[in-house]
This record gives sequence, structure tokens and C-alpha cells, in this order.
Amino acid sequence: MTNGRYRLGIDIGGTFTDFSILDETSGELTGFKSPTIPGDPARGVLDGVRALVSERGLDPAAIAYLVHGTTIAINTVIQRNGASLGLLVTAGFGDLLEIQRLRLASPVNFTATRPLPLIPRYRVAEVTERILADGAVDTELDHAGLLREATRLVEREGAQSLVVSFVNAYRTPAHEAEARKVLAERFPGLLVTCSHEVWPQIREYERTMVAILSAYVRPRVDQYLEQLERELGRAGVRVPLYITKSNGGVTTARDARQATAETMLSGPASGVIGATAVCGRAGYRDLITFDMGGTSADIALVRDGQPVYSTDEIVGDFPIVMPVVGVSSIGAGGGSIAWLDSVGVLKVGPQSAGADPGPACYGRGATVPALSDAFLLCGFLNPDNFVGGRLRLHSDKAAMAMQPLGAALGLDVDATAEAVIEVATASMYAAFSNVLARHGLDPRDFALVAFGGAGPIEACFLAQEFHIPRVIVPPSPGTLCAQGAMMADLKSDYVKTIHRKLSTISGKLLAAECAELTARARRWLTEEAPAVATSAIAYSADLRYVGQAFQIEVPIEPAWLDESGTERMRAAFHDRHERLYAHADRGADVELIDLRATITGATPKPELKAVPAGQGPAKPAGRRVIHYRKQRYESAVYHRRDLLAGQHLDGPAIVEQEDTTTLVPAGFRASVDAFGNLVIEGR
Amino acid sequence: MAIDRVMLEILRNHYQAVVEDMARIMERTAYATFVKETADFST
Repeated sequence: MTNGRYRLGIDIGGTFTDFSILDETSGELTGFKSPTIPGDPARGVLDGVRALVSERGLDPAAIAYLVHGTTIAINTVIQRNGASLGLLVTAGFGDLLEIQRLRLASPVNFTATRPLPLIPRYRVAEVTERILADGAVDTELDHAGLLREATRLVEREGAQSLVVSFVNAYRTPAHEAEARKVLAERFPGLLVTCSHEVWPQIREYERTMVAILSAYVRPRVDQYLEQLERELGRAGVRVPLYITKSNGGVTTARDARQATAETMLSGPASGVIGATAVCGRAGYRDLITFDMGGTSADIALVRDGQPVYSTDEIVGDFPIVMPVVGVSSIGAGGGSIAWLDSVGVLKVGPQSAGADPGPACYGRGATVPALSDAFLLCGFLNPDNFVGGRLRLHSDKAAMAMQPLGAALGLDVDATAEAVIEVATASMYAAFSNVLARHGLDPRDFALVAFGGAGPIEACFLAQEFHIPRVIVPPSPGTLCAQGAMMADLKSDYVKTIHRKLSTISGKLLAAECAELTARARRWLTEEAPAVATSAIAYSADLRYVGQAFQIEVPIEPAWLDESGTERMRAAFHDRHERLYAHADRGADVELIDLRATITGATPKPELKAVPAGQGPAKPAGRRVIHYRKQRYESAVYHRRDLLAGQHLDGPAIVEQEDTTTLVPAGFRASVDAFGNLVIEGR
Repeated sequence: MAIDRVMLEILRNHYQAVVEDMARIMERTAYATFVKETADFST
């Protein structure tokens, strides 16, 4: 990293593009928001950078490190406007994309249908070849047939690029590699994606889907990042662009343009990284992160200081089995529209007013009520101090939009606004409750970290529903995702499917397999970040009892990689099984399914400015009337910048700051910790 | 009796959460292929 004063993190949300700027000479961290341009997100980023230069006097040449979370890949899948692909599969497996998995989206719906595949059936072709489950070649690859089908897909069906996914290629990739060579000779310059190169894991549908998703989003991601880098360069930025990944790490834009599947969930993951880092410093290690912006609300779990990773996440309609920070999302944000269904029952979301026109209170012509209108009418938002006063809110327009809804429900405007907030809270509760149930966790053992533009207003209401005892609001909650991107390490994951009984694996073989993963990981780090000072590799194994249908991930200590490795791994599996299920069958044989490695290259961590200390109750800057749950209160109003470490304030209270507003309801007390976090607990 | 159309939606969400929590817990504890692979709790 070159010399310069600033680090800049950029995160694109559905409504705002967030910037987090760290001045490394003073340790001062500031946030900045600029509207997202949904049709052209790169322009939104550039507008923001230009505004930073003109309004804040930021010298683009003094930016030493620039990280960006993109939404381009996931939007391409959701909007289904990616590349026209052709798929080549093993003879007999042509219906793979239609059959998918047995699981239905809704098991109680008789008319539920499967999602439409990203590649229509006529652009899927079968090729004669066969590799057996043990990796032996059963039938050689038919070159003439391959070329005939590929020619049909490219020349007649209009495939822009080809995906090759053969059965058991994770075990023996020879035929996929051979196909790549044959295709490269016949179609030089055509992009070919092979499943074993993207993610060589057992399970044909999932492996094929990762390869397809990667190829599907590639032209758009490639073009977007190329354009963004060029324009940033033109705006005077001199450093290379880094991109956040779904696994909570970062990589170079150059790498992200190729490994496109790895940036699919890039934005939400960096919020979790930011929350983990900020709260970890203050000593909170078990967290539920709650990121609520204008369009959606995301939650994720952090246990013992580490984000909980998931290998069964869904992107659009499709599974993605690469490890990603497990984030669950619902369409509930400040812009979520309140409406009545066909029988007149009040609903909030998932439709959002977005940034333009935005909620009615933005005064940009919207006439339908949104959740932010309800926040304003209940007195939670200050119309003159929203986004640092750069956007004036209109209470009259919010009331006008809320009025018809209230008339239909037989409620006045104030009661309607309260009802909208209560319904939004209940729908978030319903959406997120099963996330904890799925992991068998009790919310009372966690702290809720609230961030995003709307998170800190809603957090205490949600915490009450879940019986979560503590809410933490970090110092810059509105731009925590961008801040997390800035703090993230370089990180990449590797997998190899072994699928053998432990009794047939020697310690030597295990060490050799780990060494192979290590070599791949090191090669990546050397290519992407030759200058990185410290790096670490962590290994793990997915193990199960012979005959079980699911695996348990067990970490492998580096010290185990000698003759004793297999036995130590076996013992660790029994112990973990016992902890999770309260029993272990220590006499039974265990199978090793997948071996994993994760490499982390440390990026320099920002030194943040400490918050000056004070004591006793904080001094309010004013008072205003707020109301919720059929009660009116005379609430104290505080400015976040006035709050000193060690001070406290009692609800009902409102804490205003440039990037968000925090509501401390009656019966709660907020204390400011040494790092400037607001820690809110029941009194 | 008049139905409160706000309370109805709040309760609907909470009942839905109860059912989904039950489903997730069953799925976590079950060994049956139908439950594990298809989330079919009635076969």
C-alpha cells in the first residue's frame, strides 16, 4: 500500500451509497451518504467520490486504500439479465437444471413450481464421456460430439460463453480440462467455464450452479469493475481498487473480475465484519447483527467473535455452496411501503420506495406511505436534521400519505403510524426467528448490534420481541458496512472433496492433501497481494459417520498434520458430535467428505480515535414529543457527538447523529462505552 | 365481533414464527431423508 492519508470504504445499498473515510493521521472516521443510482451504480459511486472531493476537500491522490462492496453480481441474478450461456454436461444428465433438488420452496403449497433455470433446456447439450465415482475413466470424451454440440450452441443458439460440468469432475477433472483444450482450439477467445476450476466439490447440481452463476454474471461484473476503475483513475484516484467478497474478505478488482461467484453477497458480509470488529474491541463476542437500510433488513450471527459462515445460502433462486457469511434478508427498510391486502389487513413491504421517489416525507412526489413516514410522524426523526440536514423531511406530506390508510383502518394519522411500525416489527420477528431456531440458539445469550440508516430506530422494538437483553449501536452505524469493508482482510477459500473413510486415510495422505490446498491458497495470495505482511491458513474437515446424510465441520489444527492427524481428527469429530447432539458413537467409522482451507492476509488495521471521557448523565440538547404503542412521551433529544465515554441517558430518548437516529424507549438506559458505542439495556 | 386488522397481522406473524421455529427444530433433530432433503414433515 502506498503512502497517503486516507482509507476509503464504499458500500452500495438499495437506497444510499455509503462512504466511510478514515484519516490515518488523526484516526478520525467519518461517514458520508450519496443516493444510489439503481440503473448505473458505478455513477452513484463516482458522484459520491466527486462530492467528497468538492464538499469535504478530499484529495483523491491522497487515498491510500480503497475498498468497495458491489451489488452488481447479485442484481444480475435477481433481475436475470446476465449472459446467454450454453451448458455441456455428461450424456444422460441433460435435465440436471430442471430436476434441481427434491426440496420445494413451499412444502404446503400444491401449486408451487420450481424456479426457471438460468439456461433454457435448448442451450443444454449432452456429451458422451463418463468418469466414475471413484475417479476412474469409464468412457473417453467424444471430441467430435463435443465440437458438434458446442458449434450448435454457439452458432445456432447464440451462446455467448460455455459452461462445462461433467459428472464426478470434482474427482477427476481430466475430461473437463480436455474439453477446455478442444474448445479453445475451435473457438479461440470464447469464454469457457469448467466446474472443477470454480469450486471442485461433490454434488453435481450445486457444483454446476456455482460454475453457471460465475459465468452468468461475469460480463456485467467485468464491465462494471473495468468502467469503475477507469473512471476512478480519471477522477484522480491512484491506488488499485479492492472488492469485498461474500466470505467477509477482500480481493483485488482484477481477481474479482474473474472469480465473480465469490462477490455475490459482498455488501451485507462487510457489515457483519464491521460489527464483529467494532463490538469485539469492546468485548462483545456473541452478536446478532441487524442492518436495516432503506430497502431491506439483514441479520447475521456472530459467535465467539467469529461470523457464522454458511455453505447453503441461496442467491436469487439458486444455491451457492461456497462459504459465505450467513446473512438473512427481508424486504423491510425505511422505504418499505405500507399497504392493505385484498381483505384490508395492514402489511409493510417488501415493496420499497427506494431512493427515488423515496418515502412521501422526502417530498419528491411519492404519495404512498412508507415506514420512514411512520418514524417521522411518531417523532423519531428530526425533519431538519436528516442525513446531516441535507435532506429536509416533510411531516405534512407524510401525514397526507398516511391519511387514506388510516381512514381505511378507522384510525387517525398518529395511530396509523404506530400501527405501521408495529406491523413492520412483527414481520421482521417472523422472518428472523427461524434463523436462531435453525442454529438451536437462544436469543437471550446475544447482543443485538444495530446499524444501517434505520437499524438503530427499530432495534429496541425488535430486541423486545426477541427478549434480547442488550442493544449496541456503534459510533457510525449508518456507514458500518463501508467501514467493515475497510477493515476486512484478504481472504480466499479452497475445497477438495475426499469422500473416503478415515480408516483408509493415513496421516501422511491428509498432510499431503492439506499441502496441496495450501499451495493453491499461497499462489492466490502471492498473485493478489505480494506485499502483504502476515498471512495465516486455517484448515477444516467436513466429517460424518458412515451412513449419515449430513456433515459436521471440524477445525484441523496445523500441529495435527503428521502421522497422528487422522486419529486426532476422528477424536475431534466425536467430541463435536457429542457437544452438538449429546451423544457420540466412538466405535463407528467416520468419513471425510470435504477438506477445506482458508487463507487470510492481514491488511493494516485502522487506529480509531478514542472518545473523550465524561461522567454522570449526558446533557440533552432539547426535547420533543414522541409516541409509540398508544403512549405519548416528552422525550429528551441528544446529539451523538456530545456524548462522552462513561456517560448514560435514560429513555424515552432520541439520539441524533448525521447518519442515523437512535431510539431509546421508556424503560431502557443507554450507556456510552470507552469506544463510543451506545449500549442499551432494560432498566 | 369486529376484527382489529392491525392486531390480526401482528398475531399472524407471530403464529407463523412459531410454526417455522418448530419446523427448523424438527429438521435439526430428524434423521429421516424426507425431512432432511425435502423439508417434507408429513410423509
